Amino acid sequence: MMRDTHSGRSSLRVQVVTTVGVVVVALMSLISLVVLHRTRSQIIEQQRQDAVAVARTFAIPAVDAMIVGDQTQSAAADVLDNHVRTFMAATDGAVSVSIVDPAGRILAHSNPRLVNRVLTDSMALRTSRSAAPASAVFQDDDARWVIEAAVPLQVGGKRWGGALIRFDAEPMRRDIRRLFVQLLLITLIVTFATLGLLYMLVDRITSSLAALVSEVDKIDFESDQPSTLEAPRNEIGYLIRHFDLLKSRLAQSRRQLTAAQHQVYQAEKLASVGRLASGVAHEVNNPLNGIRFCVHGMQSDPHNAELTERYLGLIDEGIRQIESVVQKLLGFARSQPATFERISINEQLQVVLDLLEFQLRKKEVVTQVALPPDLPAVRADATLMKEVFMNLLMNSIDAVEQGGSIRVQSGEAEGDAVFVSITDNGSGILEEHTSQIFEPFFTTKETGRGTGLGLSVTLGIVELHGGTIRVHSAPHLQTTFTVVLPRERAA
Amino acid sequence: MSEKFRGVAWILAAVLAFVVPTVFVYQTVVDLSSPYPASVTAPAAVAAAPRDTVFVGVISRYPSSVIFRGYQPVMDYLSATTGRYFALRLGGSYEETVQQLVHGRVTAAFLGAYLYVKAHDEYGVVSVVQPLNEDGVPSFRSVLITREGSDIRGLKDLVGRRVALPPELSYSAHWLMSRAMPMAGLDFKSIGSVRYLPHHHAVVYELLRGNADAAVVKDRVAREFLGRGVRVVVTSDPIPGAPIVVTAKHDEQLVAAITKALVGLTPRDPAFARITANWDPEFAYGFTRAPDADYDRLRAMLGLRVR
Ligand SMILES: Nc1ncnc2c1ncn2[C@@H]1O[C@H](COP(=O)(O)OP(=O)(O)OP(=O)(O)O)[C@@H](O)[C@H]1O
Ligand SMILES: [Mg+2]
Repeated sequence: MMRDTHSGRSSLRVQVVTTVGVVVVALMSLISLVVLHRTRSQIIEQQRQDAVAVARTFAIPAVDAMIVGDQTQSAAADVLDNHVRTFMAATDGAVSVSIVDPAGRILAHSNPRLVNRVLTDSMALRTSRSAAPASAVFQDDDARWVIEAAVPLQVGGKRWGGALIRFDAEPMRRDIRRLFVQLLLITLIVTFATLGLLYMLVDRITSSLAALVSEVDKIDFESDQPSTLEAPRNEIGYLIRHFDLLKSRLAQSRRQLTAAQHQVYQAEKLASVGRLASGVAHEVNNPLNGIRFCVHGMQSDPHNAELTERYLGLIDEGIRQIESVVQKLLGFARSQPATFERISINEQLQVVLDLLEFQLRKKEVVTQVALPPDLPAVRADATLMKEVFMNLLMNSIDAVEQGGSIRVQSGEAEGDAVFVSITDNGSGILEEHTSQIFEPFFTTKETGRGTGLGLSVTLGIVELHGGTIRVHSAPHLQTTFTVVLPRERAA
Repeated sequence: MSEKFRGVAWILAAVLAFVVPTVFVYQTVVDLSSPYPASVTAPAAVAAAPRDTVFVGVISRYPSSVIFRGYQPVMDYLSATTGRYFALRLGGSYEETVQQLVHGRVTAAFLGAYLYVKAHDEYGVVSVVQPLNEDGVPSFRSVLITREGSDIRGLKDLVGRRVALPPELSYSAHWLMSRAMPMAGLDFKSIGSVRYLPHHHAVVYELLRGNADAAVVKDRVAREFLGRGVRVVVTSDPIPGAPIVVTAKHDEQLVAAITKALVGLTPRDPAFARITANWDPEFAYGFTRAPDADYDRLRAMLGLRVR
């Protein structure tokens, strides 16, 4: 249980952090990639343009030198060499310069040893013949990154060749690398900052939830005290406030339930007493009739001492009989609050059987009673127990035909318990009713004969004592109610 | 235990999922390779000068690079329209170009009007076409210029001053020394010093540098520097345009082709602006025929015999 809540909580946290983490990383990566791509393209494009611009500037005096060379019928080589050397000295980042004639022969080069070589590299040959200025970035033979600008040495249709100028591209590469590292760092920082914040936030939420859960776990429905949780001003606080409301509503309905149960109990008791009273009236009526008959006889013949003595004996017997009935009734109705004490189940059963003696006799019920004398005592409320047996026996009496039979049995049950079973061969309980008979106000009896409270009260009492009640019925054969009570009530 | 292992595996997978693309992106980003555009790798055909190339001379009126940039496009145009290949052959001086023409080293030549009149008399060279000015008239003027802020207001102010001139065989030089000064009643010897420079641009630069107080150049050149420290003081009468000439023993067909190509291209032609975009400013209004009679006016001015 505890583990479950814990892993559920951390999995929520992992889910949120992972999902948002993935989204943040994806978004940041996308933004970074776009920025990286655009800035990189801009840097490269700018450098290429710069290279071409410088190369164009380089070409102007080179062309002039060619023109003068043509005019004076002398080689322009000296002037070109000089121009190349000055250019190399004056231009930062220039790696090499070569001036190539249309046939591919190198006319001038920043490395003088290459002069007069003929280009064999087809790429260089082609670019040296480019009709328009152009540039490219690549790794040269020394694996160094260079930007090469190719400019034609040309005026109109007159072409002297082309110039290929290489510039160091390593600084540009360093710039791009720095840009990459910066963007990577920003991505990482933003990602981890977001995840950290998120983790803390989710942690706060889940710990509030955990507090709420533990509060629910130790909820005491008996108490009306509001929960000890402080409610933060957010959804969790909202939850806690509503949880408090729920708790107080629960407590209230419990109180109402208790009150209702009490009323039900009271009503049932009254009903039982009412029904007892009819039996009791009969019980009292018989001796009263006897007494009235004796008094009448004594009045009509007041001086017959022998008769008077006999009648007085009979009257005394009748009064004693009435006395015992009243005694029994008082014993049943006494003692309101449940008091648990060690009592003998058999004794209580006997009291109830005595009380019902008249009803049993009236229906000519064959009553078998098997109560082992050595039955262990039980910790229970005597009055409530009598009520249980009274209800079950009255139901059986109601169920049996004239001259039916009822068997009452008690004994030791498994698990340090005692059982009482009451069996009759009456009408029995229909299959579809067995689940309803313990519900309050369920009755199959005609109005005025039954309230439908007997079994529900019985169940309440048995459960109060930590016991169970079972029913097994085969209609018109036998119906058995078995009550099992622990000898000591569980705390 | 296995749960812990799963967690570690997940974290490892996440780190890998980040590191692998990062490394890939890094590799891609620092690989700067960007090739030449395709147009470069399909180079322009290299035109080698053919055997029957028509060489054209130009007097050294401007620095050779200025001439080349302004005249080579004219050659390209002629090559494209006449079916013959035209190439420039620049001379080191005005006289050299005449000699190139006379000795057949060039077939045609751009001469000055003054030089043409002299070469016509001397070698019988023939004018073919001459450029038009902005008014559509085949003439130009020489101008006396000075620096902005100079106190020179007229020819008489030249007395005792330093004057820079183009070569003696240019009309501009001739005009000042033999026409403008005498007509103003001044003796050219009254000028403090006269220096002849190789070409018109050199003259203007010398003036701007302060090594001369005044100078005479073609109006086309003076216009280049107006608003850049140069002020016009005196303008000459119009004189005929500087012609393209050929020798007396010329190839009629070729001359007709050149004439047709150059005279046929007029500013009314929609392609004119595109074709002449890089031509020398003097040719910006097209050409017209240059019958020798056009130069009689100049001959008269020079006091030469009119045939
Ligand atoms: N021994 C039994 N044999 C047959 N039916 C029974 C027996 N005991 C209970 N029942 C059925 O269960 C119903 C509910 O019994 P319960 O004691 O709760 O109410 P009741 O007897 O009808 O009324 P009362 O409140 O007066 O006891 C009865 O109406 C009856 O149909
Ligand atoms: Mg009942």
